[in-house]
Amino acid sequence: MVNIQNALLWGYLLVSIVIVPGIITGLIRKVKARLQNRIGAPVWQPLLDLIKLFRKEETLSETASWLFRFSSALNLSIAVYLAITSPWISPRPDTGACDLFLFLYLFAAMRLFTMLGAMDTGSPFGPFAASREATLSFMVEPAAILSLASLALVARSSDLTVVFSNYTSQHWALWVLSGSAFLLASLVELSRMPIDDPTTHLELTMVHEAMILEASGKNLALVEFANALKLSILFGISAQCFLHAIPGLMVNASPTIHGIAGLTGLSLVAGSVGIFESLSVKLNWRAAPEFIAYSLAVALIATLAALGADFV
Amino acid sequence: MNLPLAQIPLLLIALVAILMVGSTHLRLNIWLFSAQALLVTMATALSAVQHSDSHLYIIAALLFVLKVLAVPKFFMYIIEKVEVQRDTGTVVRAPVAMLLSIAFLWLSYILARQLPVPSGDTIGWPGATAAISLLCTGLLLMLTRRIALSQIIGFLVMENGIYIFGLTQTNGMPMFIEMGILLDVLAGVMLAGLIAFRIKKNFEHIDVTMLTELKENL
Amino acid sequence: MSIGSMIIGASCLTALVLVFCCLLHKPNHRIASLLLASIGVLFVSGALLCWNTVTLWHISDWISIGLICPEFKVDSLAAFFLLSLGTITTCCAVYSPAYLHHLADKINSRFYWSAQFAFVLGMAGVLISANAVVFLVAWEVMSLASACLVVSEFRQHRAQRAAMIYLVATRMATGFISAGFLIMYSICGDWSFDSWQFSDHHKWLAASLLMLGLIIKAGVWPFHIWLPYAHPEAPSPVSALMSGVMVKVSIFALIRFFVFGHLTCAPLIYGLFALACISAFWGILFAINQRELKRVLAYSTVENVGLILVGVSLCIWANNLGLTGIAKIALTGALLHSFGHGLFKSLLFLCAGSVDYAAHTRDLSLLGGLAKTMPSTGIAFIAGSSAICALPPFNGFASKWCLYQGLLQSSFTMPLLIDRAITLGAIGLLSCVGALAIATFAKAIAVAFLGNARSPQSRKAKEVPLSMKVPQTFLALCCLVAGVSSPWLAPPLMALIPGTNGLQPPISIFATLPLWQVGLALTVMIMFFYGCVLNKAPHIDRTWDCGFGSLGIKSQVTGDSFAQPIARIFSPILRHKLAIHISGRERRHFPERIVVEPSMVSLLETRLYRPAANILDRISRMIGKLQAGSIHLYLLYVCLALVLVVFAGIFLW
Repeated sequence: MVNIQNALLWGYLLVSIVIVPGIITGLIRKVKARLQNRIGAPVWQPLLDLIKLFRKEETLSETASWLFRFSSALNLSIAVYLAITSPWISPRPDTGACDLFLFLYLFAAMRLFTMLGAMDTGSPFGPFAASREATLSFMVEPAAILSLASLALVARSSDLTVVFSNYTSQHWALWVLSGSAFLLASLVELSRMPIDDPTTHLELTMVHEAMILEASGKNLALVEFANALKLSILFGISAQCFLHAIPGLMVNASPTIHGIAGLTGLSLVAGSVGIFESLSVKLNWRAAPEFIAYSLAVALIATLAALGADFV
Repeated sequence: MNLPLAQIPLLLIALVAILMVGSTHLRLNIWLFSAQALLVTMATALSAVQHSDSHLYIIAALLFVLKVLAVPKFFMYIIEKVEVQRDTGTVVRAPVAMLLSIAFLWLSYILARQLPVPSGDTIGWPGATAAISLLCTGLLLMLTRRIALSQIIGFLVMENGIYIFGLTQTNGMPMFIEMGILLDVLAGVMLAGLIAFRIKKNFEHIDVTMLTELKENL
Repeated sequence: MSIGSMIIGASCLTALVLVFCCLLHKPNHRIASLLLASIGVLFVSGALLCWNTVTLWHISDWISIGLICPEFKVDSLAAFFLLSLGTITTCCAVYSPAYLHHLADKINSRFYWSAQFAFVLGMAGVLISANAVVFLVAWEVMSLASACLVVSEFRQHRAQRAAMIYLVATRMATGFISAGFLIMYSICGDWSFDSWQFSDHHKWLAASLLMLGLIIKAGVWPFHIWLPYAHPEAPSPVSALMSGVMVKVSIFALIRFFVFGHLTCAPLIYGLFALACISAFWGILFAINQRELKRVLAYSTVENVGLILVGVSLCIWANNLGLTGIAKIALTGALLHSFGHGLFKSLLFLCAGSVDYAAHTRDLSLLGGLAKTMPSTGIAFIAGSSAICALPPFNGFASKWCLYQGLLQSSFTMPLLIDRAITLGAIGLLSCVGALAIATFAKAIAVAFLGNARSPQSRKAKEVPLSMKVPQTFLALCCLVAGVSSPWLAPPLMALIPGTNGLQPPISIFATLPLWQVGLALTVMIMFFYGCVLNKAPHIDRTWDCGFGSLGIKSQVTGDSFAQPIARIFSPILRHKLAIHISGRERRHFPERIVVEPSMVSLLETRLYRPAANILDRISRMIGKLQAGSIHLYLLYVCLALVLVVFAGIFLW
């Protein structure tokens, strides 16, 4: 019985890893399109795009070294590993511990190799984007780590699986604060609005899109998929934070309810990100630190809440 | 004027020193130094007679050999080698320096009165006067002369002063200390002479005022 | 006396003999490096045999230094650092002959090798010393030998200046340490470290002096300024040893004195913690803005020393509060990071040496594209950078994870709320430092190894010979293996601090660190993606150039422009300025020539050390006026001094 349930959970996880990233990306695009009075592509369009890219021939820069293709393979591997181990959807099979610091440093590894890949082709656009990415990341990293660390503090464990297995919603305010801080940090980490508009193509201001400018064909498919997976994981984690804040929703609930709640939460987060992106304008590059400061401020309030809740 | 025999060489020593400050001829200075050393030997011998002290005789003999004969001879040799005759002074001219040294003699006369004199001793006070004036005169000689040899002579004059002080105030120091000092003086003179050679060889003069260029200018 | 300690003692003696042999007879590079490598291997084997044993030697019967006899002690802590020393010495020795070949006429091999042996001997001596006098002697051998090695290229003016700055730092360090030792001796009446405990409050002055001396030598902010001068000027194997081991020797001494000597002075502990945090941040901030590869690495050493000291100070702090569990994790983090930093920093320095060897420059604005011409060095450099950026599954992550874990556990077990807040804040700061480290090494890798070559000499660079490739590859593998096996390396280190009364059972915590699983999973998946998805050879074409014709060297981003956004944010600290000069008749619309020159000034040097040095200089000048060069004046001084002494004797007696 347990084995069957576990096998089902594994199946659910693997199917989600393949399908959810595309759907979530498509959902954000759809919401934005509707808000701009367009019908927009169907939500599964990114999946179709990926399949198309996988079939295309790859063109490689003559300057690029082995690192260029290696980095995209490595990035997707890291993203898949994190998708398997981290609690971004519920319910999940028992995949062992997912340490908070390991989680963040694996993302850091993805970032390093994306930057290296961007700088490998000798193009001027990639390195500029990488430089912006580096600048953003060092500002946003404390917010990301502190929002999760305040949760870990209350749970007295750095294992995210343990942190997210507590459904008592005792510290709902902390969950909301951490979730919002992490969501804001994710927006920067994924270089979405208001830091950068992923739908425009102005190489001089782009962050992530300019870094993958030279990738094409299958390579681009790997990169796009890794990025969509990263987006789903980060949004999924904040969705889970918000779900934990709702009293009595997840306690002793069946796996089906967990699954529905998790997917709904993720979709709602993605939808609200879509709405937010439609309403906001892209910030001047020099104003980006001000936006990140909000994220850091929320994270700091979350740590204060955690210290206060824990310190009796 | 009732002058005890023992005081005569002491006063002459001080006068010779003053003459040395006044003279700018190096050769004359060395002759004067030799004469001064002879007077020192005589004072030692007189003291030896007075106290019938056998070891003072030995010291007197040593002084005669070293200071009266050997050191002046060595200086003469150096003068031959480095080819200098006169030492025009620096800071103050020789006559002024001589007057200054006479002032120092007065000063030492007064200073010596302050010293506790051994009771019943006739040479204590004149001895201290001579000694202190020799110290000052020797220093003056070193300070006011250009040629490196004058510095050595000045040093030897000071050394004589210290010796006289020891002789007249404490009836001579223990023999081993005296001999050690004599050895030091000899070694010092030899070294100074050698250095004078080297200075002459490298700078083609032995004018110490020009050695300021050795200093690193910061 | 165990076999391990005999091996260590014998290899120390061999090194001592070799110091003089090399001085007397001009050594062959190959033979000398072979001997040095074998000494390194002996250190490693001796250290492994000495693990978990304590050997104490008194050589009172043979010789004695003054009033005390030489005492040596090999325990697990010393063995752990000896292991690091041995490994890195061996690699540097193997690397040396080929590297020194291209410096052939610039160095004096006799002095180089005897200083090299003395340097290794000094470091080993500090590690195994058991009393203060032996420690000081070995410490001085280590400091002076390394100063000689810094000035290996003795004709270079820059090397002379670097050695001067380094000498000032080591002199200050030795001065403070000696003062601390003397005070401790006057209190304890014993030179032996075993009887030195720092828990009484009247020993705090000694403790603070010792700490000051040791952190000067460790290169902690604000005493770090010698590192970016000394490391780049020394030959690469020497900078690898200096940064990889010598700096750790002071950390070893800090651990020996203050962790095992139970320092309880709270202001000192907080001070050390604060300095550690500042140097971590300051170091990496300056590292990212450097233009020379070895200076980047030198500043990154400042950062890593900061990280290690966060662990050390947290350990002392937690030990005082009775939280042995946290103390154990923090010390494990500090020790693992010392070891790991030794491995990857020496690896990076050796790679920088290879770049210098092949391209004849270390200036990042002249390098580029070396990953294709020097694949082995490129891979080794990327592996070392990944380790230093603490990317899983390399060893840098394992040690940093211990530090994070210690801080996180402190944030819910320390009794005071302010302590909890401080540790939580430190987590945030360390994550920021980590992100900056990634940016720094992304810049270093990308500008040196990726893209197009920026100068003819780096275009002509060829891969280094085998004897230089092997140590690099070996160290890179060590980083990986030490990282993957860290769950097994850590528990023995935890046993170094006695006691089990911690709140958390710390050993089990390593169950949540699945580094080998990460390594395995990533390897399998990368092989899958490479084999099944990217298996088809791509169509090769030019990099997209917006249709303006092929991209030149000038269109490539330089290291300076990569770091510019970060430098701009921190311009108050970095004093970063951009001088932009646009010329041309219609310069607004059709500029003919644009010159952009970034400038950066080290705040500490201009605002603290320069004024201090100026004041010292002015005082020395005043005193220097006394030295007029006139013999007559000197005679007057002597006379006046004599008179003064006489009068002083009269009036004071």
